[in-house]
Order: sequence, then C-alpha cells, then structure tokens
Amino acid sequence: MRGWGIAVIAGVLSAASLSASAEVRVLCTTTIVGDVVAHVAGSDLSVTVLLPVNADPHSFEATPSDLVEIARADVIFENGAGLEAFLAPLLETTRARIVDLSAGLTLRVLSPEEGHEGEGVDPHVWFDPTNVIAWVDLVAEVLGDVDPDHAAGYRERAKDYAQSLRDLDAWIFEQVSRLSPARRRLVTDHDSFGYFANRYGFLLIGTVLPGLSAMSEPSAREVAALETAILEAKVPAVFVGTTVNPALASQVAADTGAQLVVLYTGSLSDADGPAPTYVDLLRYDVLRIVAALGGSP
Amino acid sequence: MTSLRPTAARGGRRTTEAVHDPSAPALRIRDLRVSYGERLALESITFNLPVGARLAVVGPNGAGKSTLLKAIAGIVRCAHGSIAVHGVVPEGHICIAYLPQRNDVDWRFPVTAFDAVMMGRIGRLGPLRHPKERDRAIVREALALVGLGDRGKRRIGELSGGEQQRMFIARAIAQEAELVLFDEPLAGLDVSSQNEVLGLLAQLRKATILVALHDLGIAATRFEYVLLLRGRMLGFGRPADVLQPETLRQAYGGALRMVSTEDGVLVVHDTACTAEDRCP
Amino acid sequence: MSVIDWLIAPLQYPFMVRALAASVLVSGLCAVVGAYVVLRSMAFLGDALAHSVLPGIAAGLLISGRGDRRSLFWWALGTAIAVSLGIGWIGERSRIREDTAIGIVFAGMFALGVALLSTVRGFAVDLVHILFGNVLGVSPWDLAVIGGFGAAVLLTVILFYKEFLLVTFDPTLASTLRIRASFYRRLLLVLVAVVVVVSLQTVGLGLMLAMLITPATTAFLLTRRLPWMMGIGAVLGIVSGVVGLYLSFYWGIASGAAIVLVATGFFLVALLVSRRRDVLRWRLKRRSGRPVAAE
Repeated sequence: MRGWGIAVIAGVLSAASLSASAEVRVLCTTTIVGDVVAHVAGSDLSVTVLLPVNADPHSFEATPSDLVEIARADVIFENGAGLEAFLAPLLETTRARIVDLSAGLTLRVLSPEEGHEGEGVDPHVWFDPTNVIAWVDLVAEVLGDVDPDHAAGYRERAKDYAQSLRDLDAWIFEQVSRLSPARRRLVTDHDSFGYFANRYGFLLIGTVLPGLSAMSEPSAREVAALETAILEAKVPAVFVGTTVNPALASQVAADTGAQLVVLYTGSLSDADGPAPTYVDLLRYDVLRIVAALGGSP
Repeated sequence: MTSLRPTAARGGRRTTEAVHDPSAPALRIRDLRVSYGERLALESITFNLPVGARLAVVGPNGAGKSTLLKAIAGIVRCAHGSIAVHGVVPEGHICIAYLPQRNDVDWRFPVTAFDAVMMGRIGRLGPLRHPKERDRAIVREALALVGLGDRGKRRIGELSGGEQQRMFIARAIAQEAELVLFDEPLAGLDVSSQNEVLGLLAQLRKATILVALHDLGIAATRFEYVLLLRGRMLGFGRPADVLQPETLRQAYGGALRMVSTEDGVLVVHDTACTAEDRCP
Repeated sequence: MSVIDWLIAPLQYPFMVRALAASVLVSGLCAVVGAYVVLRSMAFLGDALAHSVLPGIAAGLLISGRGDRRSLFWWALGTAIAVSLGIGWIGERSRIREDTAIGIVFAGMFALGVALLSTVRGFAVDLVHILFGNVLGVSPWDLAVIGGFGAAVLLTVILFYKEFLLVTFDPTLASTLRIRASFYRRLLLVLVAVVVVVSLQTVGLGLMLAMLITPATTAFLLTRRLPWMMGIGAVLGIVSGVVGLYLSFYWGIASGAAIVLVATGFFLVALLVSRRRDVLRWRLKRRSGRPVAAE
C-alpha cells in the first residue's frame, strides 16, 4: 500500500524534472555500490547514494528527498540479486536506466525459504572481490554509454581499480593462508559470507538466524545444533554484522565461550570509521577474521 | 453543623465514619441542582427526610431519579444547593449504600456472591489490610438474612434477577449502611420476586431507605413518603398527598389514565405513551 | 531414549534453561496482570504500549547517544509508563472511551517515533525492533530484570488486591466508599506498562501479547473467581511455555510461535469444555424448575 503512494509521488516528480541539466546524474543504492561506482566515475560525475551508512534495507523508509533523487537520476546502479527488493515499487516509475550489477554473475542458489525476500539467491556478492571486478567492467561500460565524452577516463580508472581489486584478492589469500584449513570455520549471524567462504576456502558451520533474512526466527533445535557444532568444531568466534540485533548471537557466543566479533557486512562505516571504502571494508573484516580464528597478523 | 474526623489528604481514604448529628434529619436537601455538562438534570429539589423513613422516588423516564440518588451518594457533584446526610456532607460518609441498576453491572465478572458482598466491607478496612474472620462472618450473616445463605459460592452471573437484588441488599447490610439508595431494583422482576425484595427491605433495620421506582401502586402502598420528580420536584410528602391527579398530570403528561372506581381514582401509567403530542 | 533423558536433554544447554526460566516468569507475570487487561476489555493495550515506546527509544538514542539495549530499555519503560498514564487521563477527562484513547495514542506515538528517527538517518539496527527480545536469546541480565520487576508487580497486586478488584468491577461502589478509584486505576495501568515492556524485551512482541491475553482468557472460561483466574492463567501460561520450548527443541518449530500455538490450543479446548458445561447446566436447571440465570 505504501509503495503505491510513493510510486505515484515518484512518477509526478520524475515528470516534473524533465528539464535536465547537462550533467548526468548517477544514483547508487548501497554505500558499497556507491564506493565502487565512485572509483570508476572519478571527478567526472557526481555519485549519490540512497541508503545511509549502517542502514538496514528492510526497514528503509524513503523520504521525499530520496524520491527526488530517484526521479532525477539518469542511471541507477543496484547490487541486484534481490537485495533491493524494497526499492522495487519506488523504481517502477523512474525514467532512469537501472543497472543490475550482479546480472552476469554466478549466484549462490539457496532453497526458497532461505532466500532474501523470497528470492532463492544470496545477494552478498561483494564478499568476493572477483565479483566486484565484474561490476567495475559493467560500470565503465554503462558510464561510457551515457557520458561518451569521458568514456576514456572511465575505462582508465576502471582498469586501475580492477587492478587494486586483484591486489586485494591476492592479499586476502595471503592473509587467510595463515590459518590452517582446520581453523577456517565461520559462524555468522545470518548467511552473509557465502561467497567469501567459497572463494577463500572457509567452511560455514552455521548461522544464528536461519537463512538470509534478518527477520527470521530460529527454533530451539537450530540453536542447540549450532551451539553443538560450535563446540565440536572448536570455533573461537561468532561474527555478527552491524544491522542485526545481536542479542541472540551474543548469548550463543557467551554460552559456547566464543568471542563475539562485529564486522561490516552490508554497509561501509562513516568516513572516520575503519571501513570508509569497499577495499577498507574487506581489509578490516579479513584482519579481524584471521585474528579471531587464531592466525597471527 | 458538620462534625468530621480529619481526612488523610485531599479526597483521601477514610475508614471511619463521620460522626452523625443526632438532631439532624437523615437527609436534608436544599435547592439542589445537578447538571451533566450543559444539560440540566435536576433543579429545585428541597426536602427533609427523617431517620428510618422509607421514600419512593417516582417519575417518568429521564426525570432524574438516578441522578438524585447518585448526588445523595456523593458520586455525582451538585452544581448548586446542599445535601446533608445526618448533618454531614455525603463525602464524609462511608455508610451510604448506592445499589445500581441491573444493567450497570458487569455480570460476567468472575466474582461470587460472597465476594461481591465482601466488597461492601472494604470501606471499613484500610488499604493494605485483608478481610478478617469477623468480616467473613458479617458477610455470611448478611447473605443468610437475605436468603442467599447457600448461594454464596455462585458466580454472580448465575444468580437470578431477584437473587441479584437480594445480593445488593446483603452488600448494604455488610457495609453497615445507614442510608440505602436503591436505583430501580424492581425492574425486570416478576411479581413474587418484587415482593421478596420489598420484604427484605425490612432487614435494613435502622437504615433510611430511598427507592427509585416506576410502579406508582407500589409507591403508594408500601412507602411512607413519596417524591415525585420530573427534572424538578413536583411533590414530596405522604403518598396520598403527592399522588394527586393534577401533580401526576404535570409529571407524566398525558401518559396516565385516570380510571374511576368504587374506592377512588385508579391511576394507570400508560408506558407505551411516551411522547406528549401523541397522547390525548 | 528414556523419558527422563528426553526431559533432561534440553537442559544441558544454558540457553534452554534460561528460556524456560524466562518463559515461566513472563507467563506467570502476564497472566496476573492480563486478568485485569482482559476483564477491562483492554486487549490491545499490550500492542499499543509496545509500539508507543518508539519515540522514547529514539529520544534516548538521540539524547544519550547510547544505542545498547540496556540503556534503551529504561527509556522505553519510562515512555510506556507515561503513555499508560496518558491513556488513563484521556479516559477520565473526556467522554472518550478507553479503547479509543488507546488507539489514538498508539498511532500518534508510533508516528512520532518514526518522525524522530527519520530526522537522523542511519541507525545501526532497526530501532523499531531493537527492544524486541527473543526467548532463546535471554541473557542473565534479562532474567534479573524480569525477576526484580516481576516481584515488585506481584507484591503490589497482593497488597492492593481488593482495591484493584473494586475499581475494576464496581467503580461506583468505590466512589461511595470514598476510595480513590482514579489512583488505583492509574496504578493498574502503570503495572500493565511495566509488565509489557519488561516482557517485551525478554521474549519479544508476539509472545508477550499472547501471554498477556490468552492464558487469562482461557482461565476466565474455566473459573468463577478472580484469584483462580490469575492462578490458573499463570499455570496455563507456564505449561504453554514449557511445552512450546520442548516442541521447538525436538521438532524444530520457531520457539515463540510454538508457545503461542500451545496456549491457543488450551484456549480452544477450554472454549469447547465451557460451552458444553454451560449447556449442561442450563438443561439441568430447566429440568429442576429453578429459575434460569439472568444474562
């Protein structure tokens, strides 16, 4: 119901803003997407991000100024893979070109109950830097399309950024190698590290909340099974994100003697925090994971 | 004048009854006026009632019978005038029992007849005190006096209409009430139940009793005093003096039929006739 | 596995022991206070209060800067008490009935909370749900809170039992006995607010609402006296909690939902039983010629 009202307003606003300025307007959904796009866009384009830092997509309430941004945008980059299901009604009436960054990627398929908002796939693709390299190519292509004058610049910066991502990938492998395979076990609050686990050889022991949605409720059997698994695998830490209520996770950690470690999962930190860019986010998380699981830095 | 034990605080709880002035009438009302917001419910009420008297309060629907009883009980505020019960304002007393109309009570509430009667004792207990054996004995005795000795453990919803009224009488007894105000106790009861209830009023020995009624015949035959109301006082005194054709016409409009019989004039209240313009 | 093993197995997990303890405390407390809520037809007061605390939490976050559950709990508690007193005040001062007052305050407060939150974007956790606990995630601090507040609430109910009964059942009599009905009514509303917030942060919204209403209503169908209604309600709530948690442990059903379903099952059984009993009693009365109870 709420979606309808917002869609109407968005439609009116986008019709009213057809008097566009020369500059191309780019809007990104999450802070992570925004950071990646900004690295490619450089100073040739201004990039706006819709979700604020640390926001939970599920409880996001668009204000009129958000709708103005959506209406004025020429291009909207979204993570895709079902993460922005909340935005669907708002985006319906925009005239902008919507780019699904994860469109060409191989996505982790999960059983329907576990999917984000009912989609059967895991949207946390950014935890595998090689996925983001694919993003970068796509972003350069799209920006080159809508702003041909600066197409060369976008390609150049995309190349540089992709190289830094490859360096990041190598660095992560090197960090992770300090952990013996037996120690590469992850217990998280919800299923956000699937792509990371696949790329870097970690085993997902379990999650506190079943599935990908932060709103799901576990049964006592699931919690008991998780605690047993943690104790049997001798996992020393439980990793939680900043968007989920940590009450249950902290109890599980306390009961099993595990350490509760807070990581950045769905959003960058503030500018003066430890994870202001995507690369910083992965570095911070990997360092903390390796330290908590027993590798020396 | 009034003589009052000091109260705990503004509108505070009291567990001791005000000292009654033995020379004062049970009820002394002067020029009483009561309004509900804008609406004037009662005015010009003035009368004295001696201790131990029985007064029937009669009048058509909406005449203000309930309002008068509630004002005397101290439940409703008066806009003007004075009420003195045994020489003291109503708020000073905990010996006034107001027995409500049947449909004002939540009969589905999980309390037994015993519990309901025990509530009358709460006035004598302070806060933080629980009923003692003496209170329980008084309640049992009160129930026995009204013939509900074996019905004490029944939920109030399981009692018949007549038994419910008797339960209220028992509560007034348990309250050690000296002024009892009955709001339409006979409504919806069959004749034998009505007689039962009226007969039980005798159990309230020392009390002064006011009963709001519809039945003029009962008012005339079983009460010493009658007060005829219609928003204001139309008559007060002995039934024969008050229930005269002229005053009755003023109260009920054309809704009364006067039938001449050998013994005198028989007054029949036509309850189907409520609007003046439709009645002859 | 023997029956004893079957019973003991869950208890080896500390979270299960805490869950059982929390469930027992919450359902016992909610049944006692819930009796008054049910009898005064204020069934959605629980939901209203749970959502009305949002502006208090937002204000707490903005003013104190601390977003942890413990400090926000006190803000929520204060807000709930203020809201319940406000609802009582509206009911007394105007011609508006209590259930209408509850609805208006609920909507207004929740909107105020959303408005406050929208001015400061980017909260770490979904604030609407931050206070909602989970029976499986109960911490020792949560147990201490519910134990402490629960004891205070129960003590108050015991001390003022007859006044609460009088004010709930017969405010007119309270008035003639010169007992300050408004004071006790407000005190009762405050007790409800405390129980709602404390239960909410221990076991979450859905479970709190059910424990407040369902066992008390079930007991209402089965008993004739208020103390029994509270006692049986508490027992039913506790049994629902234990059975529900065991179902969650052995059959993998979400714990809160399992408890609520068990409690509702009890209600349905009581409904059938009491109807049959009333019909039977009515038939017996007709046969014996006694007057049938007035409705």
